Amino acid sequence: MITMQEIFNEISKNGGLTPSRKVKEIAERFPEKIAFRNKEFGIWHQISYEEFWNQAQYVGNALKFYGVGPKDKVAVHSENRPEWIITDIGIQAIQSITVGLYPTNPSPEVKYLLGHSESKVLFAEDQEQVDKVLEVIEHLPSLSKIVYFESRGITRYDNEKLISWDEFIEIGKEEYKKDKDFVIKMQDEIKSEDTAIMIYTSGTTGPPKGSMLTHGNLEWVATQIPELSFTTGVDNPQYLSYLPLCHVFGRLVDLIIGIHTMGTINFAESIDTVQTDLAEVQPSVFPAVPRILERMHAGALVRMKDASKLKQLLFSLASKLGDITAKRRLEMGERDFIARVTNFIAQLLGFRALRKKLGLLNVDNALSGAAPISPEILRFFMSLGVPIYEGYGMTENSAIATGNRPGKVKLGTVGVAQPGVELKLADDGEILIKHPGVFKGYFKNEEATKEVIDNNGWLYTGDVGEYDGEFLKIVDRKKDIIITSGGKNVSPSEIENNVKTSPYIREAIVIGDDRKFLSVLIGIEFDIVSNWALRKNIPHTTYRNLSENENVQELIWKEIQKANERTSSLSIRKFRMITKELDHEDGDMTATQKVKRNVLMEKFSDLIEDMYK
Amino acid sequence: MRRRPDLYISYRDETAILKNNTHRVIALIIASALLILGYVADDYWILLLSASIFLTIATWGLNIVSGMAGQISLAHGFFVAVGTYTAAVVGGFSTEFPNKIIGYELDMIIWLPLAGIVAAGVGLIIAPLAVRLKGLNLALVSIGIVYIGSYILSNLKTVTGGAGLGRKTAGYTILGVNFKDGLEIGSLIFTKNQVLYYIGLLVALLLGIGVKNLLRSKIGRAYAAIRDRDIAAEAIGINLARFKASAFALSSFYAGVAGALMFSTIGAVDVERFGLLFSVTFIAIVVIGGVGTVMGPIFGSIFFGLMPGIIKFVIDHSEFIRDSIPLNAAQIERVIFGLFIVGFLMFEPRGLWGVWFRLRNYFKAWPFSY
Repeated sequence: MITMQEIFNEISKNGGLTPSRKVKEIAERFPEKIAFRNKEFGIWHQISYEEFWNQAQYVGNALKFYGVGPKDKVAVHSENRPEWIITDIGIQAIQSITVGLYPTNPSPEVKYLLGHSESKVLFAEDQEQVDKVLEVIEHLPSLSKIVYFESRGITRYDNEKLISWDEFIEIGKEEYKKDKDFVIKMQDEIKSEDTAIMIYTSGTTGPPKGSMLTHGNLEWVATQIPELSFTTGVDNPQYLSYLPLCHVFGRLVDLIIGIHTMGTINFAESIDTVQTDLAEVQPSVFPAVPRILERMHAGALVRMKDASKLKQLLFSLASKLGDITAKRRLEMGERDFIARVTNFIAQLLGFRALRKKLGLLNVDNALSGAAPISPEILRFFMSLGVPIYEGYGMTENSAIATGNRPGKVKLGTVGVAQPGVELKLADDGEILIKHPGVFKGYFKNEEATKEVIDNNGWLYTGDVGEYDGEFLKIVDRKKDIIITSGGKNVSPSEIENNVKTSPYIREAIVIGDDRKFLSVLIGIEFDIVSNWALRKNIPHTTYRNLSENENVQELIWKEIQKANERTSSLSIRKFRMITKELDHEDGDMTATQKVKRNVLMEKFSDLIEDMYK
Repeated sequence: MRRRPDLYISYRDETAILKNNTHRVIALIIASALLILGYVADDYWILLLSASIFLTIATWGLNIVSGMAGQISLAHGFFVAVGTYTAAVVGGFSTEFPNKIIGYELDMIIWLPLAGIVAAGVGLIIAPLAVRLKGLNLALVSIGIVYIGSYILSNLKTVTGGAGLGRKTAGYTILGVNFKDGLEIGSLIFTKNQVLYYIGLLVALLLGIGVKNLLRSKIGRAYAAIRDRDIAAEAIGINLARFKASAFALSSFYAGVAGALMFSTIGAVDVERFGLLFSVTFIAIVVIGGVGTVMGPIFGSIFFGLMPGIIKFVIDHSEFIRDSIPLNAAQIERVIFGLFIVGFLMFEPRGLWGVWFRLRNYFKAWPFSY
């Protein structure tokens, strides 16, 4: 089998390919290699690259049968599963454009996204997603076919636009028999300026915008793989696909890096089983968003509280050693001898077992991205001996900008520029990025495109940063920065992440723009606070009931004070509890679980005003 | 899958007995230890070890019907007796004095399986009771079987020799080779008891795999369903009559095979042995070992089988105990055994296997507690 070093050498020599061409290449060279594993009823079913490429060709042929041609859009509305990526490759191979929808997108958003993108065919996962589109189908004149992956509950639906995945693939097979070279011919004609995928960014203000990434963008990203901060050096790497594929981060890791490193992509059984699936797959690369890492951290600490005294003692000993490991490694580099010794003992005492439970035992490169994370959380994982690196990127630059990397880590920063990335700050501190992976523009929105890309090709990220020529530190989103009535500039996300380090706190929204002092709205982590309350014999029922409990409020206030002691920024003077769980369908959050600040400000204005009375 | 021990790509891998190399190495070490032990241990310990093995086989049988399928049977000792006497008749000598006792002097290769098959047949005859009854009623009826059984055995003098006299067990011929006075293979010399020990090991290995396979197959799952709720099991399409009957038959097969071997080390057997107490012994072993598992009966039988040796060892080496306790070794054994049954039922109903399970989980959950 081919080693990772050989793969890197090949990429450095020949450059990267657009994903569909790479799949074809692997299918020809290593047909038996396992592309996907999909867990069903506890068993991981395997699909080889050969099978993958065949199915992708059937998809391409069937789409042609239904009149989909170059530059036409095809949408996918599904959780991560092999069909998602197979479909994506099939669509791209015939020069059509893939549009991904979040499984949590409610019906009105489905209507907007399909309508705006003028999608011709929709791949919907199951009855839930099919229902969403059928509700608004009369507003979608260009949509001619809906393919569903799971037929449960749909078989009796009477709509001539519906077709099952199996029937669809059958049609593809028939078409394929007539013209075996159709997909390959189409694929050969792909030009690098052609749009490959469209990613709708869930704006916290206004309707989503469709970012067009070209085959050239994807090829450039692939070419950088040997030098990128978040690739693995492990042979035959294993990936666990759980980050949404319609988001640029999930797409980058699974579709571009996963395929180019000829890895195996494992699909979690469902969102609820990610933790157990992680422990089974023990992936080589673990891309994560702060929310996941925060949960892992909180979960470990809380379960530790239930452990026996002896285990607690050994664990706290291991933690002390782990802190030394993390500190030494940050100061002296990865190969520091003392760090090796302390790490070895800490692993024996319990960290190895803990990492195995978390599914991080074989992780060669864990990365945090998509949102800012508290350094405390990163330090926790470093002390466990997990190589974890924070990175920075966005849809508009194919998720490639900066990253911490082995031997070059500075906590609190998003690291150094990735290879081939030009980086500078504008006069007002806004971060500007330029590289061949910067997107083509927003679909049907010239005006917005002009706002973010200037004539010289610089991308205006909308983030304010501090750059010392080497490490980049993100201050905040430009529009989120708080200026208190005293005239102080405050970055809310930094304070929020500091507060969210507490295992009891899930959401924190800092307020203070044009106010005398800072305050915060708190959403609790229900499971963990509930566990705490049980131990303290505090009766409670619902989320709201628990949030309003006086003892809980006291606990939260203590946690906020702890956070205040850690920060160099302004401290928080008051807080209020949010008495409902925030979620996407109520419009509180974007599909990627980022809070919509302005929506919440309005929704909870009475709570806020109460604090400043 | 290397480095990913919990990732299964087929049900076959997931239900494998030896899932990974660690398991395989442990199994190999235990196997070689048992083989070597049989050669180096002295005759007294060989006897105790053999007894443990035969008890294990019999208890597996009880565990199939009671632990897996949930049908409480106090008649297990009767099925063991059926096996013992089948073997004795088929493989033993016939005598004319003092009573006429029949025996056909056939090879072990015939009498050993036949003992199991006949016992299974008797089990099948009794099975309809289990189909109609359950729980305490079945337990009471099974006590009745023990009494009826011992009455019949006492009076079948041509088979059993009658109460108080007994008869010789089956002969020691296997594949035409008689090992009554030991066996010489190359330069290695084995005594009769050593040969029986090795035969016991081989039979236990085969039957142990049998129980494990039963446990992880469709039949085992059907048994578990019946045990947990017979009405629900029937509702999902499990044929109660068929599965209860098969559980009794299989259980009796194990009892029969164990019975055929159990008294061969002593060489003679008396009907008085097969009273109610004998049947209760198996229940006790299951309780102490652990219900519904493969390992439980092994733990329980080793405990029960080796305890006399350990007590003897302690008494021989401690004058204090010899002087201060006015009981003999057998009495002490019974007291300790009784205390253990009470203790396990109160504090660890899952038996020795439960203790092992807890210990294993303590380290498996590391660094957490669950």
